[in-house]
Parts: sequence; structure tokens; C-alpha cells
Amino acid sequence: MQKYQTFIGFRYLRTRLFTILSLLAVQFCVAVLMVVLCVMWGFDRDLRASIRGSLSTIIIEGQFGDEIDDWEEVVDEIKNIEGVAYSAPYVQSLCLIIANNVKLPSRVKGVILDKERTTSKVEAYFKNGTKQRLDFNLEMEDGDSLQPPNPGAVVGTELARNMGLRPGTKVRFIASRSAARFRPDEFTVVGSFKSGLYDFDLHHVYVPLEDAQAMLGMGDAVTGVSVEVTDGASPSDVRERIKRKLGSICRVETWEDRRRNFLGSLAIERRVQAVIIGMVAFLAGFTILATIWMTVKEKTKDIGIIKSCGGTTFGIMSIFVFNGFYIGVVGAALGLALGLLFLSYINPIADFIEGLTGFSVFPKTMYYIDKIPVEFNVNGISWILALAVIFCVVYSIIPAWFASRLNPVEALRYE
Amino acid sequence: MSDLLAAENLHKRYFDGSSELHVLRGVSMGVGAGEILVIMGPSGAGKSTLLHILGALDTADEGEVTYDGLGFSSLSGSMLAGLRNHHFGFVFQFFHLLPDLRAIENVMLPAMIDTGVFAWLGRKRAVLERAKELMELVGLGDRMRHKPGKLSGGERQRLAIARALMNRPRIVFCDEPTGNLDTATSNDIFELIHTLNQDEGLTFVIVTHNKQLAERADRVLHIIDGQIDGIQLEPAQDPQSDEEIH
Ligand SMILES: Nc1ncnc2c1ncn2[C@@H]1O[C@H](COP(=O)(O)OP(=O)(O)OP(=O)(O)O)[C@@H](O)[C@H]1O
Ligand SMILES: [Mg+2]
Repeated sequence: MQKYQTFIGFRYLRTRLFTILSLLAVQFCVAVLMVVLCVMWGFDRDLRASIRGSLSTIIIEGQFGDEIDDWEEVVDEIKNIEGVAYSAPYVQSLCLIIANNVKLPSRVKGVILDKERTTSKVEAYFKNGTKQRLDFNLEMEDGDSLQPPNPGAVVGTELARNMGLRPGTKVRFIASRSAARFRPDEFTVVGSFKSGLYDFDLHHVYVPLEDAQAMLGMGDAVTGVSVEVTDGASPSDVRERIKRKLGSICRVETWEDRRRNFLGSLAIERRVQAVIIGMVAFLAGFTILATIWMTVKEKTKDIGIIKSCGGTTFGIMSIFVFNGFYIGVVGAALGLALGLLFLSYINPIADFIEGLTGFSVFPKTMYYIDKIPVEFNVNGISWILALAVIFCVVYSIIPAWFASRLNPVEALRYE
Repeated sequence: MSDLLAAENLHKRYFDGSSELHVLRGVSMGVGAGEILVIMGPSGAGKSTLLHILGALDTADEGEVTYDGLGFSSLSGSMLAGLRNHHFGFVFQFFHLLPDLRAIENVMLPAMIDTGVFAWLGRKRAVLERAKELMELVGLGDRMRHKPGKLSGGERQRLAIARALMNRPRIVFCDEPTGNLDTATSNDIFELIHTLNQDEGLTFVIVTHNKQLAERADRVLHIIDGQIDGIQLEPAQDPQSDEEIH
């Protein structure tokens, strides 16, 4: 790299409208890609979380939907399997929830909270709820907690809102399970939880394990056992080890096995996204091509002069490739700043637009998620930036190549 | 032959559609070290074409140019570029300065071409000194930071000469250096060329229509119809350059 390549390259960039326009073009493209992708990744993440719901990493259930009669034995058996960190029994059933003369379908999950918190995010959900309870007790005015006369239930915030449930409200469940006693059980709402996943918060109710068992007439049996794997362990490997140990009495699945169909359509969507984004980047790159091309046209005579002073073909080419590189790097940096700024304020911006125009940018019931999700995927953002620079360089190579081929005599012949 | 630069049987043709224009028809000539050689001839005779070929800016269809015993045809593109950078300087009728660069940066251009980005850090001071010296020499000491657009024609040409001298070339090629200048300014330029020739032993190859300049040359070649027509020796000067005609 000779001094003149960078020196003249910089000089060509300085105070030129083209430079500013192409910098803005790159900045804008990078920022738009970043915003779109980060929101898409956010959706992806939340949609996955939504699809996952309260499923633990690995789920053990009875074969053919049977119950597990002795969950403590199962827990004992898998306890020492490599990769198994925690396990928790649960009972789950579809129920009709009745309160204040409203009936809604819901999913009742009976758990032992102290165990459940090790295999799911239940603790965080409860903390985000209106009452930060980590038990099923009712909180009194003076701050004491009291075991309610009926078993406690913690309901999702959206469900609570829809049915007008507040601490102390009595609710009844009608289970769809055939073995259930046909007597609606009365529970007392002690609090609500919030996962941020609209669908989940609308349909789920947590109750104590033994009360769920009693309501459903299950005795000591449970629906299944949730398993959390140790950090870094591969869920599918752990699944295989558990399968080998338990034999065929149980069905062992990861949560992704359970939700295979939904996840499959997500993957297809992602591929379509990649194609569209690639096309956008490809087209945006033409801005750079046009800019550098204009510069080359404008500097035809300069190219002849530089060659007459000893500039090489490669040297001339690198002046213009350097221009593209510079526009790429600076434009990407500006785009990164703009994108990050926009993403940090995306929800206030959406609210502002909604307030201004009355047009709801982000109707939450439609997306099952209560605010625009953003995932700052460092890897993905790095890729966007790298691609911006690469595209700028590649697109400047074409006009730069033509520039370097210019016959100096032709370039110099006329004033 | 002790020629610094020699051309042997140069041919150059241009094709315009079906018609062929045979511009150079077997030009042979030599340039001795330290002489001022003037090339004259009617417009369209091929003077510029010849000068470009001699200066390795263009290539001949036939024939060979040798510089210091090196045949151009045996050199690669980047070696020829190196030759233009280190050994040749060019001065054109239309000045051909880079409009985006300041006057002094234009003068420094050949040195920047010669120096890597990191080596530049060490060399910059010396190059700047040399460029300043040259600008003083051509009488532009107070115009260093001007853009070429802000200079007069004569000043631009002197700037172009300063640039041509930056890397201490051995031959300076001038294509109608006074073609765009008035008589007084032209005389300044002649003076400068003469001084450089006398003081530094620089070799000049000058294409010009200017009779006065031709009179002060060591030798004058006439090109007519793509061939060297005759030779005129300035009787009072330089006895060693009694070279061939064609
Ligand atoms: N690229 C080209 N294509 C076609 N013809 C060309 C080309 N370059 C030069 N010519 C022709 O070659 C001839 C010689 O051109 P050249 O510029 O060498 O003349 P010149 O002697 O320098 O004339 P002048 O004194 O007017 O500058 C001219 O007739 C010109 O039209
Ligand atoms: Mg000419």
C-alpha cells in the first residue's frame, strides 16, 4: 500500500455530496437491517418461548398419556444420570375456570413450587406478577401471609384481567379429565404471575401439586416429571441417557420434540427471511457501485495524471476500492449507532406514533407478546456490519477495475 | 551509442472503423544525456504520440524504445510505472494537475507514489522539504497551499514542472509546455528549463510550436508525415550530440 492510495482516496471522499449520500445510504441500510432483524430475532425468541410455555427442557411422562404413579422413584432413578441437574413432578390438565360468572378454558398446572422453580422460570414469572408470592399463601393487609381456607391459585395476569380476578377471589375448575371427581373445586386466588407471553398469561393457572391431585382424583400419581439439564449439556443426549435408564414405561422428550410442528414452520420462515434480506443487501450495494462509478467518471483525467507520475494499475484500483471500504466501514459504524438508538427506543417510538395517529403499530393481542421484542444478537449484528463492508468493497471493485484499465494517454489527451 | 533514450523504427497505427491511420511510420531517434531536444512538426503529425511512447505512457505497434539499455518491451506494467515515477517527468500543455490536491501536495505526488504508507511517516519531512525547495525554485514559494484552480496559467505550468522534478528524474518530457501561455510567461518557462538543464544536467524532450524555444535547443527534430524529416544543430552548442536522422 503506497501513500498516495490512501491520501488521494481520502481526498476524493472529502466534502463531496456523493460521499455523504453513499454514507447515508449505507447507514440507512445497516440501520434498517439491524432494526428489522433484531425485532425478528426478538419475535423468534419470544415465539419460541411462547411455543415452549412452561415446558421444561426435558419432559418425562407416562407412555400413552398414562400417569406416573410413583414420581419419587423416577426422580431417584434419573438423579445420577450425567447431565441431569434438577427434576420436578407436575400435574397438568385442561380445565374450565369459572369465576364472577365467567367461564374460560385454562390449563391448570399443579406444582411443588420449591422444585418447579429449578426446572422452569416460574419464580421469575411470580415475581413479575402483581403479588410477589413464592408460595400459595394469601398475603394479609399487615404483611403476614395466611394459608387460605381453600387451596391457593396463582393465575396469569391476562386471565386475571379478563375475569376480574384479584387476591381473595374464589374460582372453580371443571376438569376435562374423566377420572376427575365431578365436583367443581373451589380455590382462592392469591396472586398473579406474568411471563410476558400473552398466550401463556391468558391461559395458565398454577396450583399446589396435592390440591391438583385431589381435584383430579389422581391420588399420588402425577402427569409427568420435568427435568432441567446441567449447563452446557446437550438436551438430546441427556434425553437418550434417561430413555436408556427408564426403559419403555416412560416417554422422554425434549421440549423441542414436543413442539416439533411449530418449530418447523419457524425454521422455514427464517429461510425465507434470509433470502429476502440477501436481496435487499444486494440491491442496496448498487448505491455504492453507482457512487464509485460517478467518482471514476469524474476523475478520468486524474487517473491519467497519476499514471503519468508512476501510479500503477493496482494503485489506481486500490484508490477506489479504498473509497468503497471507507464508505463501508464508516457507513456501517453510523448505521450501528442509528440502529442501536432506534432499537433502544422502539417501544416509546411505537407508542408515540400510536398516540399521534391513533394507528396501533403493535396490537399486542395479535402477536401474543406484550411489547415489541428486541434481541441484540451480537453475532447477527456483527454479520450485518461485516456484510456491509464486504458488499461496499466488492461493489467498488467493479468500477475500480475499469478505472485502473483506463489508457492514460486517452485520459490525458484533452483538456 | 551513448544515447540515454533511443527509439528504433517506431510505428503507431490507429484504427477508426475500417480506415487505418498510420501516425508513426518508422521513427528512429536518440536522446543524449543532458541535452535539450525539441520536436517540431505540423499539427497531427504525431508529435504527442511519439512523446507518449518515448515516455512509456503509450506503446508502439512496432519498434522498440530503450532507456539506459533497457528495452521497454521487456518490462512489466509496474516496472514501466516505476520508470515513469523515478526516471521520467512529464509536463503537459494543459498542466494536468490534480484539482483536489493543494499546490504542494501536487508536487509531492510522485514521492507519495514512491513511498509506502508506513515508510511515509519517516520520509514525510524530507519530501516536504524537497517540495518546498522546488516550489521556491519555480517561484511559487508563496502559493504552497493554493488549489491549482486558484493559480494562473503560468503558475500552473511552473507547478507542473516542480512536480515533474520531485523524484529527481533524468528526462523531462514536455508536450507544448507554453502552448497555453503568453509570450512573457513562455519566456519565464524557457528560462526555467534552461537553468535546470545547465545547473542540474537535466535532459529535456520538448514538443513545441514555439520557434524561440526551438532556437535555444541543442537539437531540433522535425516530424512530417510520421517520419523524422531533418536535423538542425545549434552550431554554438553541444558538439557531442550529432546524432542520427532516421
Ligand atoms: N486514440 C486515437 N484514435 C485515433 N486517432 C488518434 C488517436 N490519437 C491520436 N490520433 C490521431 O493521430 C494523429 C497524431 O496525433 P498527435 O496528437 O500525436 O498529433 P500532434 O502532432 O501532437 O498534433 P498537435 O500539434 O495538434 O498536438 C492525429 O491525426 C490524431 O487524430
Ligand atoms: Mg500534440
